[in-house]
Amino acid sequence: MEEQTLLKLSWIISLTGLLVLIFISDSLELKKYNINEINNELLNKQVKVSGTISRIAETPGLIIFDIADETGTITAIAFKESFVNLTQNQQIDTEGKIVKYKGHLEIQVDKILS
Amino acid sequence: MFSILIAIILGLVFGILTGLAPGIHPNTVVVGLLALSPFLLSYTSPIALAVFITTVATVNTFTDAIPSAYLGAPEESTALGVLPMHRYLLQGKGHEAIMLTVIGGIFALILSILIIPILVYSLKQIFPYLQKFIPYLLIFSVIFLLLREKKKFLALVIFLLSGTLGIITLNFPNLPEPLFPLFSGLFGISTLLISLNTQSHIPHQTITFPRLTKKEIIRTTPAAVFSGGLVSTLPALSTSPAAILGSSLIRKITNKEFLIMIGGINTVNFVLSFVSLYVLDKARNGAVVGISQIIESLTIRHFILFIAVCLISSGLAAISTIYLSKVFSKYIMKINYQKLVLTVIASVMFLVLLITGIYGFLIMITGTFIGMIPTIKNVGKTHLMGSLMLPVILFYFL
Repeated sequence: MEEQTLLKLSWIISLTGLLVLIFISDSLELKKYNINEINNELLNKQVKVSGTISRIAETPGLIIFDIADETGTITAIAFKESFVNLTQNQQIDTEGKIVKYKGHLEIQVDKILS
Repeated sequence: MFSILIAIILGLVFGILTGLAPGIHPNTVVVGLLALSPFLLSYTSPIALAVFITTVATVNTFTDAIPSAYLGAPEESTALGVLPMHRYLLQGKGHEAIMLTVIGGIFALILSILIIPILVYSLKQIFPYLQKFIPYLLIFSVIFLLLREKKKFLALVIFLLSGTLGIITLNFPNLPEPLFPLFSGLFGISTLLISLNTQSHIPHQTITFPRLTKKEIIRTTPAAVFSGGLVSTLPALSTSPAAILGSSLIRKITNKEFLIMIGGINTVNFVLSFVSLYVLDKARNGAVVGISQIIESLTIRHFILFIAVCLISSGLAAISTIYLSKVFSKYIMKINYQKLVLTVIASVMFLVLLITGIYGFLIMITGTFIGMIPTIKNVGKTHLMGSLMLPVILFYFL
């Protein structure tokens, strides 16, 4: 193939590919889990969890709170500057990554949807 | 002891296979091993599994030069070596290029092991200060690399394009092994396609040994250890940008010296990443992440064992690489190059689809076309490392 044609093709596919990936990445829905379904198999995976904030505590950089649904409770951690308006008993839908801290599974919050 | 010996032998076999197959990284083996570890641990010890991973990764740092030289198919760590190696291959001296990387690996390994006691002692003191400067060091590296380039604007565009792809990939929800499709596209398949488009045949190869002076070894080995040390300590700084930084320490670096250095950095990076794990509790590459998951707390005895395994496997890897390179030299011109490259491309694509699914495949395709732009426009492929550097820099500042 001519080098110039290959170059044009490379620019077009690179830019189109990036746009398609941004679109897919934004529109992908995460699977929603009940808290008792969260186990080691979900470690480092992103999940969606809904529930009520049953306990809330703050450190200089983090907000640490427990999310409870009808099946159980899980601790969630979030960066303070991103999520400032959390209150006890608030109903929330969260998205985040399952991580292990001191042997317990926690959710590292990326987004709070409501 | 017996299980450790078996682990080293199996590690050597897998290290050779991952090194020879372009696009298949030791991390792929680590992921498979971790998935199988509950089953494997009923037959063997965590130490044996960790020794196996160490051997695979160490051996791979030697053998991965072979596809770079003979197929023009590098992984990220050898991407910059492709052009100088290719020049050697076109002169019928592919084996000599491999010998240079092996020599670089061995000398740099010895020097890095000699300085380990100093590093273990000083890294803990230095790192807290260094850590504050990591984002600035990364930005400095990016600016330095861009300013060295003749086509600066294009280099910046390539950095930003690959950086955007890196950000999307690393944040893509639940994508397994995100770096596999990213690097297979940016560095692997892109190079193979270009070489398929431009290369028709490989000239007759002769087995020659490089003539080296003491000065060449003395100039390159400390630079390789310095660069490899940076890669093993700082997040997101990978072999290619470190090689550029390292080569800037040497005045008027020749192709020969550059290949010695690339061989050295690759091996040093892996060996010294154990120092990062032991002293800082930070895993800087996939293999060490795997080891840290199998062995929860690394003691001084583990540390010494792993360094010894690195040393033994480097020796075995050097012998195997030299032997395999001779075999490649003998048969490469008899093989239909086009068919070989197409088979390699098809295998990598199949593996990406199998491991990462359709979204990973899309990332690989996009990466492939981004990865072809620098080669066509004659700009350094190292700017493609924006795929890791940009997400890390943004992580620090956002």
